[in-house]
Amino acid sequence: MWKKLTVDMNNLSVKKEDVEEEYRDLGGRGLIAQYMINNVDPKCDPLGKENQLLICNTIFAGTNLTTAHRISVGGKSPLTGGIKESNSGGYLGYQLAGHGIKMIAVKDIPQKEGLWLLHIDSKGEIKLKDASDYKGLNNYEFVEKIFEKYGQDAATMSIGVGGERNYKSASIQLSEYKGGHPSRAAARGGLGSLMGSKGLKGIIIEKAENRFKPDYADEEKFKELSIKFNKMVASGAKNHPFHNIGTLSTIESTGENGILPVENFSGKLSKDYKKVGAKQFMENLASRGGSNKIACQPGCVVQCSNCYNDKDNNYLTSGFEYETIALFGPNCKIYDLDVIAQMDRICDDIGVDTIDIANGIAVSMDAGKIEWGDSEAALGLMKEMKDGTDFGKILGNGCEAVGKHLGAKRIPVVKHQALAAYDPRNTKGTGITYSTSPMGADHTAGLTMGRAFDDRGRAAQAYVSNKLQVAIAFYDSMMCLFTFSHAANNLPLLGELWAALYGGSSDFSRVAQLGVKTILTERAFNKGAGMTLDDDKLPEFFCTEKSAATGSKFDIDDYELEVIFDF
Amino acid sequence: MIKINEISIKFKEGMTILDAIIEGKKSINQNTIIMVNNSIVEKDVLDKLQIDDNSEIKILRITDGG
Ligand code: SF4
Repeated sequence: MWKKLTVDMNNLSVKKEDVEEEYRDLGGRGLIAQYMINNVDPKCDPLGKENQLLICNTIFAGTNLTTAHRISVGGKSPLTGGIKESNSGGYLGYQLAGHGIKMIAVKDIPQKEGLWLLHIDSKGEIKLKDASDYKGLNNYEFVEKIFEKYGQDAATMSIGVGGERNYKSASIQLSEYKGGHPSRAAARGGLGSLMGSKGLKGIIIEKAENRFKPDYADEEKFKELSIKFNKMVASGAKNHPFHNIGTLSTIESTGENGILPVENFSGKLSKDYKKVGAKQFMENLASRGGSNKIACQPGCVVQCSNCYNDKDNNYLTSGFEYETIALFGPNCKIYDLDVIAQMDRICDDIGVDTIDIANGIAVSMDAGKIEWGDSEAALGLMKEMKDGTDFGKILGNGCEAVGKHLGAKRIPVVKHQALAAYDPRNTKGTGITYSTSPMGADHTAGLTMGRAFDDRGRAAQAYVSNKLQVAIAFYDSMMCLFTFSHAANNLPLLGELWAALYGGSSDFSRVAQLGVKTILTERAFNKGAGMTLDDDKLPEFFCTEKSAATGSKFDIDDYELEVIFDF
Repeated sequence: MIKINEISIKFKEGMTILDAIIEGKKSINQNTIIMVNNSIVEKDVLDKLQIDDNSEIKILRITDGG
């Protein structure tokens, strides 16, 4: 039977019990939505005692289904003020499932200032330990010390000074499988700040001596179906750019069609993006060392991750992704992969979201605080964030805080969260997703690029965004999104897998209902938190300014946004 | 022989990468990346670069964002 851990930070206790029936066959984003609406007052202070930090395994955790050990982190977001689910790769989901734990709910806040570690040892003994020695450590140093003490096979999840200082863009960093670097992130929505408010510096999970096995409804059937599913994903991944290059490959498409953000979403596209493109990345790997085709969690057949080294072939960063490269790169007019890799490393180390911080830097450039393309000045601002200067704290609070502080007119946020690296005028369905997703401007909630008839046209954009948002809502409950395009032609298989694991109907409608229910539940939470239809809008400048690359504006009627979830 | 994704085509002396792609009945557009023997080749030189026998061409279609 799957277990739930309840960690009470007020009396520093940990309780382990069976997962309630209602949550038994849920996982990931769907579980977070249901638990939050049942247990957390939407009006609560995100950093106060009533909010909870949730760490959830997926529906398929504990099985050999590829990427089933994605971990979802949730709570009321300190950044958006609404519900947040931010999921991450890394080793922790696999280790947590090994101990038979489906979810951890961290409640309340400590009575006195302090920091603690949640430690699960190889025998399954769980302790909340004093972590004052780790105060002020950033993630790389923290992980190094943890590995010295608990061994390289421990999985970690931690906050750096970003979370300790309650920066609104603070991330939670997870150690990757094998490499151990804390470069995987539950980055969006400031959940690191929520973890910091609980006084929780990290979670350490040692490999279980006796690995937990789920109670399959039909184990043989599940085995047969999962082999089929894994083969299907592996076969699709073989000729997919994420496996052969990495997510950075996306820049080769967005750079061609004007979707790539340039100079704070002005659309002033130039071929310079090639300097930070896939070819340059692969050439650097070939000439220096470093590698791609890395699995961030055991059993991943897509293997989109990487390890990027500096000119002297020393490790610089890993999990070096498209969003980070596009937003610190062309969107800040910085065309040097090594500099961007340093920025990625700094963000992972402090524990802040690269998307919100890179947008904050671009807004600083647009507002004239520093020059376009001045990477030294940009690194200087990031150092301020690390040191905690007045402006550094503002930057740590994300793009909107920077824009407001500087009196900027063009602040690319929805629900206070910065846009990912897709210009919504040139992929309008993605603009609809940014506007209407309960998560705020989040590309992973339903990126329509390449899926609508014409990315810049208006036809069917709301339809595609709606379908994808529903699909992603159930997918985020099940596994890593990067298997989606390989599984998309056989989604009914998910219903069969779900039934073989937990019993119940194998009909795909059960899966689709999970997606619909999750989104409606999240929207109900946000409504309770005070959000209205006015929060489902892109910043005005996307509707009034033409993209310099294409001449397109975001011209989707408000009405289409308002009815998108009228199922 | 030249391998293009899952299929093999016969190598012809002097053939360019583009010739091989056409021979393999594969299409390319702005959402594709072409790799030859694990190196990315820009689309504007596909018709200028000759390909060696026993090469492997991968035509990768971008379907997701990162
Ligand atoms: S596809 Fe990439 S992000 Fe997803 S589990 Fe595999 S390596 Fe991690």
